[in-house]
Amino acid sequence: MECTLPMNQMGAPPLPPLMASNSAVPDGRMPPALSAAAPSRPRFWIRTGYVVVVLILCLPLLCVIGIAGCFRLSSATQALRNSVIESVPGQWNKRVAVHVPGPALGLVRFGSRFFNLPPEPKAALAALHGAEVGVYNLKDAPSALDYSAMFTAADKCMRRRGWKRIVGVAQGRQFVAVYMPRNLRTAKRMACCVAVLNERDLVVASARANLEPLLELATQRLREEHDLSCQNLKPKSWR
Amino acid sequence: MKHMKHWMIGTVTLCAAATLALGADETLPGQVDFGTFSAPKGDGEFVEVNVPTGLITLAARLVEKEQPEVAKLLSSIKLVRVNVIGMDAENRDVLQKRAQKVREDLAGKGWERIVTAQEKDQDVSVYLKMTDKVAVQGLAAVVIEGKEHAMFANVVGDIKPEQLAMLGDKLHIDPLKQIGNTAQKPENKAKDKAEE
Repeated sequence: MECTLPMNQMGAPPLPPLMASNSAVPDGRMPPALSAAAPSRPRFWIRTGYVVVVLILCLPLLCVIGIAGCFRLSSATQALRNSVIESVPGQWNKRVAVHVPGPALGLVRFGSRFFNLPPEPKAALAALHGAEVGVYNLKDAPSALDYSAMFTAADKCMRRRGWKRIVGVAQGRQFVAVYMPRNLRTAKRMACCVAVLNERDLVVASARANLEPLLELATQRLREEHDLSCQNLKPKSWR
Repeated sequence: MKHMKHWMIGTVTLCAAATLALGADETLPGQVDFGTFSAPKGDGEFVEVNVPTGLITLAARLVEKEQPEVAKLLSSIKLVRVNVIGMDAENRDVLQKRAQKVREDLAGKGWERIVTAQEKDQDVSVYLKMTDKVAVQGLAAVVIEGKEHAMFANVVGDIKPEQLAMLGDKLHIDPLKQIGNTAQKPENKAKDKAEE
């Protein structure tokens, strides 16, 4: 006995009742709801693809910007350098300017975990969160330096940036200014900016650090020395 | 009405922030305004040190375990300021007049002169500002060392005189011990002796 499916006018088997009742086209074509859903998946992947391509194209540019940033001082250090240079007339030549940013030090810190470092360098790496130094040379030695004007100019530009001078020393041909942030509250976020002028050489440097690891190490060392000195003071029979 | 509320909250917040910012530079009790000093034009030295609370607290943490009394004393200090200026022909008169003015101002504002020493070319004056509870709010020292240097120092905090005397004793700094002993009231000295 031959069993055949009933066919509609197009020669296709009829749709199940649910699909048939939902379809706007009774002749068996795909309903519009399903047809609308199908192209959205490819659109999402196209957009993601564009983003990935743009990122890949921008990566060399980001690398160039990052590397260029390693030879550029931060704004506060630049301001301190400029205030000193402008106060001392003459032709200044840049010898070196290096900036090691936080992420780079973070990578070094991460890499150092795979090595068995002594506690002091380990604490120093853990503490340092960014450092930079610039060295400049004056072509001809100036005849006389107005240190008051130099301090005033440096204080003014650093105060605008939220820094306060904690040490200022000037004698002969030597000038030292040390600045720290005004809102210094905790050892976890220490920062320091220094300018040293000696004859014709100017060094500006700054660093950001979390001093907690260094404090712990220093406290431990002091305790060990204290215990050792107490032990040395005891008579031999007591040891 | 809702917008009014947001505006009011924003205005009040701004005012509070401005007040805090202005208050940050207020003079502490025990703080002395020596004025600004200019570096000498010749080879004379110029040293200015302004140690804020944050750094002092760090130093206190460093010695906390080994010398808790020193750490306690350091924790009670809020500010340290020291100025050393080399004197030359241009600034000598100005600095001597400034020192005299500072001494007069301190005496006029109720600071107690506890050390006066004039020997050879040295002129030393040390002043203390005490609270009612016999704690030292401020210590100011004005020293004219011959024709070479002028020194102005100010320590601000909430320091107990016995802590100063103890510190002077531990570090073998007799002038500091003397200052601490001089600042202690007689009844407190008697109490300490009885406890010993």
